Amino acid sequence: MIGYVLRRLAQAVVVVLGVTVLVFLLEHLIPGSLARAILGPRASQAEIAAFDRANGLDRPLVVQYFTFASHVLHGNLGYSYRLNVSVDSLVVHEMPNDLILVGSALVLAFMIAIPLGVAQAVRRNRALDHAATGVAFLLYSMPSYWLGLLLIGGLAIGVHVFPPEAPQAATPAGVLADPRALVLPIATLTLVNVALFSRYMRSSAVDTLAQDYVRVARSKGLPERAVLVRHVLRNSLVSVVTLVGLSIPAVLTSGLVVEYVFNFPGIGLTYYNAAVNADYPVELGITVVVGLATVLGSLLADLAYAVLDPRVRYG
Amino acid sequence: MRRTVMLPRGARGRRVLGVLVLVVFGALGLVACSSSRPGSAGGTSGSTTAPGVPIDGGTAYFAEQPETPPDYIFPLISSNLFTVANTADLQTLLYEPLYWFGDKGSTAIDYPLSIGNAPVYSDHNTVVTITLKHYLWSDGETVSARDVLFWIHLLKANADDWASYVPGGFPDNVTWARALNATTVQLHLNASYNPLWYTYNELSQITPLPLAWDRTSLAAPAPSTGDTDLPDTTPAGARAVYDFLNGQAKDVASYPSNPIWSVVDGAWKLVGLTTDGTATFVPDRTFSGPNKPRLAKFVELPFTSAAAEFLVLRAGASTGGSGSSSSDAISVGYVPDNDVPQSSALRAQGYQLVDWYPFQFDYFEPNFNNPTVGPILRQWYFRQAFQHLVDQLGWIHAYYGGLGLPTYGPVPASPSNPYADANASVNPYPFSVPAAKSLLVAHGWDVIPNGLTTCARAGTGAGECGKGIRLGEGLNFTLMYPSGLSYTDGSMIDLQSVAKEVGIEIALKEVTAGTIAQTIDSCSPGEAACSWELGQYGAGWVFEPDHYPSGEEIFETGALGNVSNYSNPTSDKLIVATTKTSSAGAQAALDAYQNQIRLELPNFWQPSPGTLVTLSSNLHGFVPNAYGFISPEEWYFTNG
Repeated sequence: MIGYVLRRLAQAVVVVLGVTVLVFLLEHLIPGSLARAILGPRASQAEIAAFDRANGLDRPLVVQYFTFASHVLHGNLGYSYRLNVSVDSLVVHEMPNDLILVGSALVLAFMIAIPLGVAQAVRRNRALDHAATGVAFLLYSMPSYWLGLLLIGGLAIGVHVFPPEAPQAATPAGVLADPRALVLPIATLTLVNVALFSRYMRSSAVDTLAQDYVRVARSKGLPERAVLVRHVLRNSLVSVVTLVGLSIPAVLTSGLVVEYVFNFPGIGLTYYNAAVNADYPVELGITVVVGLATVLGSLLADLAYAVLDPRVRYG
Repeated sequence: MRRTVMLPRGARGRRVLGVLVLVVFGALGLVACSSSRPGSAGGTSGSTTAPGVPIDGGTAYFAEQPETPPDYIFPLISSNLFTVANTADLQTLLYEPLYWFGDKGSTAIDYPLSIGNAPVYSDHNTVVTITLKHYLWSDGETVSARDVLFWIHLLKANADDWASYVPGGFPDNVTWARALNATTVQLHLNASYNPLWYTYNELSQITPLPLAWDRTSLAAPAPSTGDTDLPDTTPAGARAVYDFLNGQAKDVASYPSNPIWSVVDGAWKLVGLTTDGTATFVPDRTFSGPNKPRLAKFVELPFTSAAAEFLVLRAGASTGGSGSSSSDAISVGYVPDNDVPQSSALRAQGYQLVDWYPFQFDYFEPNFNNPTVGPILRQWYFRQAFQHLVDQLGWIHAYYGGLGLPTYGPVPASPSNPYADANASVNPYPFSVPAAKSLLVAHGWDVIPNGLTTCARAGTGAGECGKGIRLGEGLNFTLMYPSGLSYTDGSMIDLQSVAKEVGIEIALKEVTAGTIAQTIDSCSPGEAACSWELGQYGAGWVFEPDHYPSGEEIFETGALGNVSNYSNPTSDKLIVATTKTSSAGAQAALDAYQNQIRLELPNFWQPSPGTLVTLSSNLHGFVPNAYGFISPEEWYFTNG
């Protein structure tokens, strides 16, 4: 197991480096001068030259990349020349709030979707199943920004039950201290994810319910609750675990729309704005973080398989 | 200067989501009728009246533009950080510029609010003498002539780090400067300049800096009056001081507690600033200006998007940034361009609406040096024909929600200013497809409506297409514009459609603001970077920080802002005259210049968008500033 984990971590480094090379090259494919884009049309040649020199842009591309990679290895993700702040501090500042918002939504979504999916499977093609399927299709086909705007229109502007913004506090403690403001953004992300996860869970549980070991358990007189919890739920979770793994990078990025609509600054929106405004250090720095999270999420999912299914072994 | 490169971070997404906001509220029955009178979206155009009884105290919440938090406090700011959020919404609240521009909504200097008295020019306008009023820094020092020299010394030694620096301009055109006494500065210039131009474009760049900043480390004791051999007096020392102050300015979180930045002469002191951009100010009780703050606190709130800000406006409450309660409303906000049609609904909620137009002109750019279409764009008759296809009034009505002013030349008629000539509000090239067609036909083009117009008579004689245009060459162009602005989307699509009526094919290319800024640049015909044909930044040329509407920074041959590569000796001569003519002939020189540029069309004029400002029902004293500055020290609440 340890060897497997080490190999996967080594692969992770290669994957992350590959992603950064790709992003780095794509950035430099844009024609024109980056310094001109940043400094504006009035910038003099001397000013542009000084900017290029200060940011290492006057050096060959290969050298620029290796300088960046060297800084990353030393824990330095770069400095935003638009936001006047280090990328490290941006990530450190924004990631905890993202984790609270999107992490809460993910946990809630699983807490709702897993029993819902199992219940649908058990009552397949009955009223509950049809109703839940209909709602899931409706929510899944609804973009999260649309859902967010509807919730704000109805519950913040219409009846003033909740504020239209997410908490505006700068610290995680401050965010948690304003639970009313968390309701709408978390509800937006949760509802969309419930729709997705419950469909996976239902499908998996339907397959599991048809397995011989479930029939055997029932024929042995095991209470239905025990059959569902011990045999159906555990075995059905294997496929959903993949989703969990892939959801970890989503914690960092999928909140973009919610960040946009609910005025909640986070990594997703920061990355988007960096891409639009040619803030290369921020783009590259967040690419590294999200790349690492993606590989880590995938690795955690693989390890979880082994926990859920004793037949799975990594050598 | 052009602020377009400072398009709100995240502008691209704003378009998509902004449209959806409109749709959602339409579905919810919240969309109200729009006003479509050009130049107004239903707001008032001046200061708001105060029906209640003015009260002292209260907290005013101000909505920042999306994703542009204040993040640089040192007034000697470089181009990459030169945003309205930093200059108008942070620095000038704390550190008073020598002259305050925008007198009661006009373009003039507000001398009663300025530290400096009106400058006196002598020796054929080669010497400027400035006397200072009695202002104090918050550490008790007097704002003195030495503080003005401190600024000039830093600028001379670090010109390339100053966003407003133009080679040959200020401070290069100052041969030497000295303090005649504690309150009088004298500048000796390298030539005779138009006093108006020099005051409005060059002296406008001066911000006195406190003596306490004249050091190279925090460990060193702060200098005081009488100290000699201060570091700024040598170029190397001035560079070291700049490096120190710039380094301090990189630690944004420390601004409120940093002993450097706490020495202010403005109306406000910064007491809080979060990484997200929530800035909290309290009145500077030592402020020497006549307009002492009446508010107890002023808070600037960050927003991730214009849509988010609008939703808070519609909900009527904000969570108010860190440290404030959830019942705080936005006292001064704005209506995103996509949501201007909802202005009536906002008024019904109790908001006061005010139209805010900066002193600017707007345009999109031809690339005269493009090897393919450059020869066509260099033909004056073609530019005239193309300008006839721009339906400015129709665009304002259809796409700007009424919140736009037509642009007919380089000196706008509005807001109120003494520079625009009598023709500034007359369109020399009114929207007319037949007029465009006639011009093309008269110059040898075979006009094929809804097809491709081609050159039928090549050559340089009368009635021929012109130099460099081949027989059979077609009129097709690529026009690049930034995504994220609904009015730009609409107007460019309209232009494409109208141009088709005279056989001009326009391929629209919607790109990010970053790509625009990276691509639309001056170039030589042989360069790969010269492949762009027509382009626009999405916003216009704002006369800030250079407030005199002369064209040396945009239309003069080789000017840094002349990205279209325009070059005309007559225009150059007229531009130089605007900067050098003495006071008596200054307006005549400006008239000649603006008339030439208006007719010559070095670029294509398009409407200048405005901003619809929302004020809470009990906030008063807000006056739109022609250069985008804010003066919360003049705002107050009423209890009526």
